[in-house]
Amino acid sequence: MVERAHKGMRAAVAALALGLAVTATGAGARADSTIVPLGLQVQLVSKVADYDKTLPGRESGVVRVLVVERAAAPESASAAAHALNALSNIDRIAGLPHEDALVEFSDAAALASVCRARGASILFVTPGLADAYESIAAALVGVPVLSVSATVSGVAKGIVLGFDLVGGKPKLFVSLSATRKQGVRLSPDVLKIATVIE
Amino acid sequence: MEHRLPTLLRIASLALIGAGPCACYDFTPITISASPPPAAEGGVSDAATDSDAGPASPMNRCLACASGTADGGGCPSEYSACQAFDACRSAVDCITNQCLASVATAPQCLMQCEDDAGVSSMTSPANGPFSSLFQCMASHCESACLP
Amino acid sequence: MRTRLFLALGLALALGRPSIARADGEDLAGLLNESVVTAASNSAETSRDAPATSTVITGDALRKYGVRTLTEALDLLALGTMSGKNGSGADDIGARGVSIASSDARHFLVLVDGVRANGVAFGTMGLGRTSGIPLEIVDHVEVILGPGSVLYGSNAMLGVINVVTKSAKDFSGARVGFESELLTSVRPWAGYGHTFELGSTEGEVTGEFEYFKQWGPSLYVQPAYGGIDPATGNPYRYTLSPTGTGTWGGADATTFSKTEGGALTGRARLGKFELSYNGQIATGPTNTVGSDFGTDQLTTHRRLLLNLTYADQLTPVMSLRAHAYLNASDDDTTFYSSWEPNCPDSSINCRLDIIQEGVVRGLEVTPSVDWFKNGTFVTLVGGDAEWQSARSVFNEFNAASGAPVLPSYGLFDRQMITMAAYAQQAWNPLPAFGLNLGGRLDYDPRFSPVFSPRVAARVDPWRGGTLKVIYSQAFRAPSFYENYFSHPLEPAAVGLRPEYEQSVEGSVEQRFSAQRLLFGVFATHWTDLIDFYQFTAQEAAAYVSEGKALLPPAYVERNLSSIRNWGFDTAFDGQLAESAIQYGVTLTAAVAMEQDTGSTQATPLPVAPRAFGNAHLSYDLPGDLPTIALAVGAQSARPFEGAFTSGFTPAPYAPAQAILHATVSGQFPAVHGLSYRVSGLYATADREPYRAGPAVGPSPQTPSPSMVPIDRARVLAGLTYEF
Repeated sequence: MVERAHKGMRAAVAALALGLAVTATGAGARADSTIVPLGLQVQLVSKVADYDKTLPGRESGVVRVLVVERAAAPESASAAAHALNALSNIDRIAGLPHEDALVEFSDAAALASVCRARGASILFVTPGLADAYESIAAALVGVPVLSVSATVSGVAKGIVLGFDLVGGKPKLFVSLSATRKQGVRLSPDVLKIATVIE
Repeated sequence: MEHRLPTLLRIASLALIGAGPCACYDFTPITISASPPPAAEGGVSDAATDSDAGPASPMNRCLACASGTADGGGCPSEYSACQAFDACRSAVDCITNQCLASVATAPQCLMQCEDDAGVSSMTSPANGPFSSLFQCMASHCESACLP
Repeated sequence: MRTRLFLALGLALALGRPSIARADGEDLAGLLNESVVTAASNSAETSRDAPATSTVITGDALRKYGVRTLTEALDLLALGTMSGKNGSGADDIGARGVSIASSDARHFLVLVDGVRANGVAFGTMGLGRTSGIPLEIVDHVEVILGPGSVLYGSNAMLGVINVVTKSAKDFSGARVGFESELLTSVRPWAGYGHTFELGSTEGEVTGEFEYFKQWGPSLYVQPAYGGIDPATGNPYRYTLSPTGTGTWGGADATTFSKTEGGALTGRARLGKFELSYNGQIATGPTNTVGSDFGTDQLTTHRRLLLNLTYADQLTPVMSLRAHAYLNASDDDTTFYSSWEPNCPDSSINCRLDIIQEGVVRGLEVTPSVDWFKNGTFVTLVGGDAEWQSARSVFNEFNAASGAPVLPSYGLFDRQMITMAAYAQQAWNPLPAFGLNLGGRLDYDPRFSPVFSPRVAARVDPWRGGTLKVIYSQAFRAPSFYENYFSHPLEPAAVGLRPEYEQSVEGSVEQRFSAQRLLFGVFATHWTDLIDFYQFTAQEAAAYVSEGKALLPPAYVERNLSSIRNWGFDTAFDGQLAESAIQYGVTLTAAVAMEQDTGSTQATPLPVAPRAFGNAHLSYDLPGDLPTIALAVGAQSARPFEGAFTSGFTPAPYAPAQAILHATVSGQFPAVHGLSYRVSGLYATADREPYRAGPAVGPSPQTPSPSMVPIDRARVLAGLTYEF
C-alpha cells in the first residue's frame, strides 16, 4: 500500500479519516448527469459527518479523511484530485479541523489496516474501484469509519453512505446493514431524509 | 486503456449517420394533364388560331411555348388549366396581343390586362391557374414571350 | 457595500484562501435542495454555479402537480417561461416577456437526452400533447434561460430546455398506467427498466410507451362574418355544405381537440456507450385559420431521434464525449378550405395536403481538459458537423372528386452541410468566484458564419449569497421552409439572414437553508426577425420588371423587425418539514417592444404578457395519507396577434389568464405497487390571443376577432401499477 500525505491548506492540521467515493465531473448534457458534482458531494459528507455519533476523531479533536484512488484508472485519479481540492475549501467537518490524505488502493485488507492505523473517520472510495466495493465493505467490518461512495451501487454492495442525482437533486442513500457491521451510528435525523437500503 | 470501438457499435454508428426516415410519403409533384383548350365563346379572340397571325409573330411564339405546342416543353398542363376559366383565357389573350412588343411597358400592360380580366384579385377563381401558368412561363417561355 | 465586497474578494485572492468558505455556510437541508444542471455549460454543476439562470423541474413535481405536458410544466413550475396555443394548434413558448406569435417554440432549443429535438424543416418542437415524450420516464427538465448558442448553435435564443429521462435504477422493473381526462381522452402507458452486467461491464435499458387519444371537448368559437364571396356572388361557405352563410365559427364539434398518437422513449447503456431513442407518431389539430369550420384539420407528425454517445475519462486531465445522432421527422397536413387563396374555385371544397420532411444526421465531439485535475481551470472544445436535408410539396384536390385542382407548388428538395466549432473556458480559482468564457462559430452555406459569445461571472460575496452577471448572444438560422418555400403569390426568400439576439442579465440569489430567494434583471435586443413582408403595388410591379416574377407577388419572407426587451424576474422557493412541504413562487415583469426595420414606431409585442408567473405548494401528508398539491400559472392580458396591424379598435387583448391545478396523489395502502393521481384543472379565461378563422380585420358584423378557444375545466384521473 502506497500512502501519500496531502496537507490541507490551513495551517492547523486536523486528523480526519474520511471514506468518500467521488466521481469525475461529467461532460455533456446527458453523460454523467446522474452523478452528484464532486464539490457538492464533499459538502454533503462534511454535513452528514456531523450526524455520525461514532465518528472517529471526536475524542482527539481531529477528523481524518482518506481519499482512496486507483492510480491506473483515470477517472479515479481525477476524482481524487477533485475531492482533495474540495476538502481544502472546507474549514471544519463535524465542527472539527480535518486532515486529508490520499491513499492508493492495492487491496481491501490493506486499506482497512490503514484506516485502523490512521484512525480514519471517513473513507472516500473513488470511481474505478466499483469492483472492490464488496471486498472493501467486508474488510471494514468492525471499523467505525464512515465509508462513502458516489452511487447507489456502492451502497448496495456495503458502503455506508452514497449519493445519487434524482430529479436533478442530490439524494442520500444509507446502508443500514453496513452501519451495523461497521459500528457506525447515524442520527435518526439524517436517516429520515435519506433513502435507507437494508 | 483500450478505446477501440467495438465492431458492432461502429456499424451501428454508420447506420445512424446514413439513416433517414422511411420515405413513405410521395413527394412526386402533381401535374395536371394537357387537354385541348375549349373553343372560345363571345368576342374573345384566340390568337393561337388566328390564321392572319404568322407563325413567327411574337404572339404566336409565346402562345406556342405556353401551350406546349412548340417543340414540346413549355407549360401545357398549366395552359390547359387556365383555359378552363374565361377570365384566365381573357387575360392570356390580352397579354399576348398587347404586351409583348416592349419590355419597358410590359409590366404596366400586364397588370392592366390582369385587372381588366379580373384575375388579379385573390378572390377570383381564375387567380390560381393564371398564377401557375405565368410562373411556369417565367421559367420556360421567357425567351419566346419577351423581345 | 460594494467596498466591502471588493475588500473581501481582494483579501481572499491575496491569501489564496476564501475568507468565506461557501461550504461551511450551508446546512444539510440546503445542500439537498441544490439543483444540478448540465445544459448550461455542458457539465454537471449546481444551478448556483452555472453561467445562467435556471430551473429544474423534477419528475416527482410533474406527477404530483397533475402536469400533463411539458408546456404545462413550463407554465406552472418554471421561472420566466410562458405559453400560448396558436392558430396552428401548436404551443408558442416564450420567456422573459418575449413570445413570438406562431413560433411554435422555435426560439427555444429542446434537447431530449442530449440530442436536438427541434425539427429542421421548420425549426419547431411541439411541447404539448404531441411532444412524443411520455412524462413518467422523465427524471427532470432543465430550463436554462437566456441565449445558449455558445454551446448549441441555432434556436437557443430564449433558452435551452433539456429533458432528461430516468436511468434504470430510478425506473426499474415493469409498470403500467392508465390516465384519462374524464370524458375526453385516454392514455394507457407501459414502462420498463433493468440494470444488468455483461461480463464485467455494467449496462441498463429503459423504455416507456404511451398511446394517447383525445376526442373532445367541443369548444365554442366566437363567429366571424366574412361577407360575400366575389367569385360566386354568394356568402362565403366556410363549410363542406354547398350553401354558405358567410359566417365562420360557432359551436364546434371537436376539431380543436382531436388528437391521437403513440410515443416510445428510453435508452440503453453498456459501459461507456449509451443509445437514447425517441419515436412518435401523432395526429393533432393544425390549422384553425385557413380551414373550413367544423372540418378535420389535422397534421400527422412522425419523429425519430437516435443518439449514440460515448463518454470517457481518458486521462486524469482529459475527458471525451462524442455522439452521433439522427433527428428525422415528417408532417402530413390535411385540411379543407372553400375560399381564396386556399382554394382557387369557391364553388367546390378543396382538400389541401401538405407533406414536409426534415432529416439531420450529425456527429459531435467534445474533449475537455481539466488542467489542474481539480476543476478550477477547465477547457472544453467541441466540433459539430451536420448533414441536413428537407423537402416539401403542397397539393390541392377537389374534396369531392379527388381530382387535383392545381399543379403542385411549394416544392423544394434541399441538402446542406453545416459545421460548428466552439470552446469554453471555466475558471474557478476560489469557491466564491467563477468566470466562464465561451464562443461558438457556426458555418452555414446560406449565410456568413455566425459567432455566438458568452461571458459570465459569479461571486459569492457573503454567506449563502450569489451574484451573477452574464452577457451572451444567440441566433436562429432560417428554416428550410423559410428559405425555400415558394407559391405563385409568394416568391422564395432571397438573402434571408439569421435572427440575432444580444442579452445581458444580472441576478442575486440568497439561500437560507433549504429556502432560496432570487432576483434578476435582464435586457435583450433582437434583430433581423423573420416574418412575412407584404408588397406594395409599386414594389410588386418592380419585382416583375426586374424579372423576378411575371406575376405581381403578394408577400415574401424577409428579415423584418427587431425587439427590445427588458424586465426583472424573481423567485422564492424551498421546502419545510424535512421536505414534506414544498413551495415556490415566481414572477416576471417585462416590456417587449417590436419595431419594423425602417420604421420609427415601436409597438408592444403581440401575444406576449407583461407580467406572468406561477406558484406551487405541495404537502406530503404523513403515513399512508396522500400528497396534496396546488399549482397556478398566470399571465396578464396579452395583445391579440394582429392587435396593432389588423385594424380592430380598440386593440384586442385576450383576458388575463390563470390556470389552476389541484391534485391529490398517493399509494393505495391496501394494494402494494398501486398508486393514483386525481387532478382538477381550471382556466379562468376562455381564449388565447391568436386568430381563429379567416377574418383578418374588422367588419360591421365582426367588430372583434375570433380567438382560439381554450378548454377551461377538466378532471384528470390516473392509476399506476408497479410490478
